[in-house]
Amino acid sequence: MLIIKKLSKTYGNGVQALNNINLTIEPGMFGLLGPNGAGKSTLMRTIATLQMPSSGAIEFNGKNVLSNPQSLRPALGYLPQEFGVYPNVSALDLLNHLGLLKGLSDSKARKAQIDMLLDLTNLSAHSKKAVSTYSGGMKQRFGIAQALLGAPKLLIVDEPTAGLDPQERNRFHNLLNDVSENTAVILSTHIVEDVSNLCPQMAIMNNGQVIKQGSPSELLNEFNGKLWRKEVAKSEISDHRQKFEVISQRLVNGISEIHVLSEQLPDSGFLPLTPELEATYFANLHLASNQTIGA
Amino acid sequence: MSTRQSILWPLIGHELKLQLSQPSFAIFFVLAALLGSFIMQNQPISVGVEVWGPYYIASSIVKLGFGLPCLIAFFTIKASMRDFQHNMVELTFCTSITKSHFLATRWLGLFSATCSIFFAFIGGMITGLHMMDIGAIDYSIMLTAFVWPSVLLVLPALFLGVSLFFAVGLFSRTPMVVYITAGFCFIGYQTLLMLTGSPIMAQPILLSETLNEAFRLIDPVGASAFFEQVKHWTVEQRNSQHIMLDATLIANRTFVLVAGLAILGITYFRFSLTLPNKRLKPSSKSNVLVSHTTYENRQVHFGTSDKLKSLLSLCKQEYLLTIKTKSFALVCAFLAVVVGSEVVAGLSYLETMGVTPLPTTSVVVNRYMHDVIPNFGSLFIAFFVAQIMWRDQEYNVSGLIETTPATNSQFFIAKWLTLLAIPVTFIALSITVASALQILFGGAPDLILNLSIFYYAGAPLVCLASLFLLIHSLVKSKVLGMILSFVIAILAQSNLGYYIGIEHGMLRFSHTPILIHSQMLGFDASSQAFNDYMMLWSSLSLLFILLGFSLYRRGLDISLLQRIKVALANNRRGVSGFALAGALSVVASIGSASYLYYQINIVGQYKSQSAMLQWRADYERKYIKYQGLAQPTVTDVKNELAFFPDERRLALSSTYKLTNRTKKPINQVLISTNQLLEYSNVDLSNATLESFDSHFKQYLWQLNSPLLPGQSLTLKFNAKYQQNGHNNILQDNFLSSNFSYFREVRYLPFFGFVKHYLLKSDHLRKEYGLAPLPDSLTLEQDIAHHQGDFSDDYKWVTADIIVSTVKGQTAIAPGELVKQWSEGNRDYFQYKNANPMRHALAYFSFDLKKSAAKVDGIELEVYHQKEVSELAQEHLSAMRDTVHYANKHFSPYNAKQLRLIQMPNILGYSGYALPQIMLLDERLGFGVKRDNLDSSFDHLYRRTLHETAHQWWGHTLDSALTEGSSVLVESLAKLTEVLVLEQKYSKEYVLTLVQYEHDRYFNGRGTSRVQEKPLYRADEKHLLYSKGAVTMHALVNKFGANTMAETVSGLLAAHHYPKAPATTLDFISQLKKRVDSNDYPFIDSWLKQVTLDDWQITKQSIVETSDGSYLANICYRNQAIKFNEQGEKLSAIPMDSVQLVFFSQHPQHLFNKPNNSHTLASVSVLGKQQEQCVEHQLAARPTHIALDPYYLTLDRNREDNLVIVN
Ligand SMILES: Nc1ncnc2c1ncn2[C@@H]1O[C@H](COP(=O)(O)OP(=O)(O)OP(=O)(O)O)[C@@H](O)[C@H]1O
Ligand SMILES: [Mg+2]
Repeated sequence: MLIIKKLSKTYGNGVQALNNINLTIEPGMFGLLGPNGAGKSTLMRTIATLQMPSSGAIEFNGKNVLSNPQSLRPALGYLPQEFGVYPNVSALDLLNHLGLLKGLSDSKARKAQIDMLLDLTNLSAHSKKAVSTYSGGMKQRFGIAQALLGAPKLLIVDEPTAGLDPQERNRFHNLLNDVSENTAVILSTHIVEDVSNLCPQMAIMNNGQVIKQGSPSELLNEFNGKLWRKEVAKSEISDHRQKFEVISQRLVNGISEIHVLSEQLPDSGFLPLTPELEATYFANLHLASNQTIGA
Repeated sequence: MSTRQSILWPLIGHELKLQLSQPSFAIFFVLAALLGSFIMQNQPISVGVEVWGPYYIASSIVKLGFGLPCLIAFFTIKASMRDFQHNMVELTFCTSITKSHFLATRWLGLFSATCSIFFAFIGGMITGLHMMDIGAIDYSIMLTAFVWPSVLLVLPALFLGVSLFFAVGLFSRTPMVVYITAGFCFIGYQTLLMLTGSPIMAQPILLSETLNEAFRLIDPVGASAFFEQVKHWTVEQRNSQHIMLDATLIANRTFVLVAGLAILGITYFRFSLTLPNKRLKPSSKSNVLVSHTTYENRQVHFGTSDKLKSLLSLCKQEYLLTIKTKSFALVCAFLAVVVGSEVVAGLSYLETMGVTPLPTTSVVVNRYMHDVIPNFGSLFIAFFVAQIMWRDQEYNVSGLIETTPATNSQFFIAKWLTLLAIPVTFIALSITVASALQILFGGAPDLILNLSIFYYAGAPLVCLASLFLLIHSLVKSKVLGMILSFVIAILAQSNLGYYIGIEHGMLRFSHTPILIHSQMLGFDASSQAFNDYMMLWSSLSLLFILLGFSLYRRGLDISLLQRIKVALANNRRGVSGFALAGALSVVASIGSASYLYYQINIVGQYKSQSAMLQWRADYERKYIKYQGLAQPTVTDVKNELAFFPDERRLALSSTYKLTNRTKKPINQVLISTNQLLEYSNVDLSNATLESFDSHFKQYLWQLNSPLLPGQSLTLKFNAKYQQNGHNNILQDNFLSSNFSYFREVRYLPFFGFVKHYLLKSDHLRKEYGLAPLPDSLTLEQDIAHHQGDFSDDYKWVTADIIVSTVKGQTAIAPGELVKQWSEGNRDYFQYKNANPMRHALAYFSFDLKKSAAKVDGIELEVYHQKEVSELAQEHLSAMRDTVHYANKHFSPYNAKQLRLIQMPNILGYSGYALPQIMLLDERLGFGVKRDNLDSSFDHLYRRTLHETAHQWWGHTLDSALTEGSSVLVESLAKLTEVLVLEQKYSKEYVLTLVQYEHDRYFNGRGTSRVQEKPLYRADEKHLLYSKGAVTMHALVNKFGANTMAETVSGLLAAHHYPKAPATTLDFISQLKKRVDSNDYPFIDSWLKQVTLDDWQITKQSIVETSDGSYLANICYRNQAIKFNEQGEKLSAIPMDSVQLVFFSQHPQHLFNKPNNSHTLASVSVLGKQQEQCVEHQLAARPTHIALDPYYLTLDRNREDNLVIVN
């Protein structure tokens, strides 16, 4: 079990990327949702012992990760949002190397697991080629494979499906599902659908804060009956934005549709919005940003 | 067109901002300015060539040529490679930027950056100049002196350099290639300077005139053309004349500019703004494959063997990424070339005129072990440490690697072990290259000696690597870490730290005494000191390693403080005995530091240079009042000296007879004793000790009754001396288990005020608050001052000496061995000197073989290693010839024996003459290859002959201590060389030597910074030896060997001890007594004036006559310059005669064989400033005509002395 208490981080340039984060993460999938710059990667790097917070505490299975990062590392699998590889080193060699570092000292077991991971990430055919020559998606799959080496008890994957084609993305979701049976998996993404499909627990981050936490269904219920939609002409949009609390706007079949948060039916042109996670997410972001402006 | 242009300027502006605002630019800028100021301020201020004069400034600027490649290389990386380094290629190359804009802006940025640094240097020089205390400066001359060489010499060099490195950077895209190119340029330029005899280099060698000419054309800085031009400039010219654009310089500058343009052109046409293509195209079929495997995790283990496996994997990874790379292979190739060329140079050159060494491992190892490997090794290690420590960040793999459970110590140790492979590879490679070459030259590599290099050269590098690793663990940026590492490496390897107050060896991490291998001693001279230093550095390194991995910079944004917290937390948990190891290394460091400090400062009595100067200044202030006080002189000594070779110490007990040789009664005796020796029981008879000054070790005695002229006193004392090799090796004493040597002059008591403690240079005296010394007297003034009698300066003694040493070694001292006995386990030798000799005694103890011979009843002995017995015989024959000649022609030898001793190379002698004892370097005297005597000059014979001659010139004729005193020592030894070599070989053989000395004189003249004195008052080496040799040869040629021998024999008879010492004027008058007065101008021209001839053949025609002979019509002139005794230029120059010789082959190899069939005729002609013509009838057609081919004049330009007949 991973417990994060009052975690804050301010970068050297003054950006406060984390602001008093409190989270408890149990085995199973945990989705971290948030817009660009919300602080997801910062949080994940901090948990993965790559960064130190300015204040706060992280505990994993009762051990203080910050003062003893070595206590977490044997149980950690981590896929950074961005990573590089050494030039001219093949996937197989690199996995072997990482496997050894992760304590897979038994060569048979190591080989078996590497073969399996290469197979799972569909890289077997390219395993002898240098990772630095891989395409973006292939490299991402390599990242997934290396994160799963050994026996991770805490798997942190930062936007793992970025750049993957739909087929590979599905395959990966299945894989994560398998892994999460007895492992805590923290997954960050901007894609609400991924979280709703995969994660029994989730949190929404914005401006370095966790603005909502719970299961997707809890989050859905929160705004039940308070979300409305309306198709509007382009010219009316700004007018509506002034009148109503518009949480999002999107194009459906080329026609603008706005979503509005309101206790009652805003006006007759609106239809109730069938609860879906994405709308809830926007509503939360909307409320959070209003709070920050108001505060 | 217009829009394009409008883009160009902002682009250039942006580029300039980028280059000039980087922190390293600021650092370079400041350093360059400091360096410039530093160079000027550390110039010895001398009378003569002014530091602000054009010559001086230009020659300082020209020396910058060395640094340019490194400077340009550094900035090139940014200009040519930043797109690749920062993954910006796609972004940059796909903008609308055109190729020409791209190249132009980048090139301009680079050129501006390097130029700015250069101007900072110049600015620093000007500032430095102003901070000096040099009196009036002529500003108009000074400013031009800075601007003109900068524009003429440096800017074109920068243009070429920037273009070259820019191209290398653009096309290679690898920093290492750029650095290596810089390395090659640096070394190559140095080598060329050395091989072309540039005065910039400490030990120039002259290979061939063709090479010189070629280099003058291509030298990017134009240094060689410059030095060629100024070679014969007088002091006034050097202070006022600027560099002229002569034909050589124009050709050279044009070449450099054209080469730069050509490179730019090639760059433009070959470069394109495209990406290197090497991305993999995924095969489509694998993408559709669907697998049914399910994920399973695996048991992970973290036992010791598992950790070892992951450590191994880390090592392998580091090894592959660092060592098994093209960069490293390139570095190795570079090193192999450097070591190879060093070794070849070492094996093919021992001294001038073709003398080569025996191909021993000692010669080979000394070429690279103590400079090439440490210098290159430490710089490359500094470079690779930075690569290794920042690689994960740069490749952005930290997220993968550093989140694994591998521990900091595993990472750190893997990196450390990889670094270990660097010196090991370097050394193994060097040994391999060197040994292969040694075998090629016919030598047999010594395995043990070669293997010992791994320790002696490798250990300091490993310690440096440990410190560099720690530095990079602590600092926030790679560049900062690299700069710190380079600074530390430079401090360790050079003496530059002195200028920032870091002088003591213990303050320079990884500094060790320089180890030079000696055939006689191995590394014994300093190996103990080396080990003591290494104890300290390695225990500190252990500490650094421990700190390094506990503070290892793991992760992306973890401050040092946070890392310290984690380390402390780990420590509390008792991780891996860290505390214990740390405590142990701290204890070991403190222990070894204390021990080393004790050895250096207490036993070795270390004093910093400034402390030493301060001590001397204080001494002068306190004791100057005793200057001029009449003091007694030592006239008889009884010494008992005991060597304890294994303990590196000696004990001395002496009884001196002190005689009042002055004309006044003496009431007080001031005895000054040396700092390094520990004196005890100092006792002067009939006197009371008034005071003892323990700081200056001065004893002031009050005599109970005045000591009248001619009366004597007895002085007794004991002294002890311990040496440990931790401080610099001194030339005049050396104690070790195999070889002990003690030359006592500097260490024994002095009487009265000690003049040699005086600080000499005005600016040092000023710094220490002392008034400048009065100008020294000229010879004539000094003679008047002494009323023609310098006898007071005589220090001659009779001596009875007992030397003892351990059993098995021989102890030597001057004198006749009268008794030899054993007592306990020591051997005793008693030497007696009934005839007085100069009080410059020396003692030896060693186990060397003795080879002996006898001549005229005199015992000749050579002490040498048994392997070189054959060479010992050659020395004996040179000694025999010289002693016999001198006995017969000069005066009878003063003693019954003459000894020559093989000396370890570390003492830095070539040859040295003491009374009855000569010292000869192990290489120059006993490491000479003798199978190429027909192609090389017999320096071995010449040197022994020269040193033997000093038994007369120096040790029989003890010349007056005044101007020109060394002329009677060295130039007369040169005269003896000419006389004895003519006898042993031939008159012609000597010409080879004369030609060499002639050139050496002009080379010395070209670098001298003072107005040349006429020979009779000379003190500069190129005058005493080289001009001395040419002069003596000309005199012998003119007056004959007999007249010259009679002259010096007359000089000896009239001036030997105890008669009044001779001056050079006595020599001149002895000579004039024996020749026709018509020849006085000839003598004065050589000895009392400075004469620089310039013979020149201006026209020639050869016509075949009807009788089949040839009529030669030759016109010539001599544009001589002459300065009189006072250094004034003479306007009317008397005519000189010289030989005009007709050859039927190039005289290069003929001039020293005058009686050969290719020398057709030789006529004597008279020359003056105006052109003259002569006609001469010849039987055969000449091909070459030469003026003065036999080096009977000093001709400042010999190129126009020879014409080829077509
Ligand atoms: N190394 C850094 N130094 C300074 N500021 C940083 C650094 N890394 C991130 N930030 C800032 O911290 C904030 C959070 O960034 P972070 O990368 O954690 O966001 P994120 O939620 O992962 O965003 P995205 O969805 O775009 O990946 C941003 O404002 C970012 O600019
Ligand atoms: Mg992110």
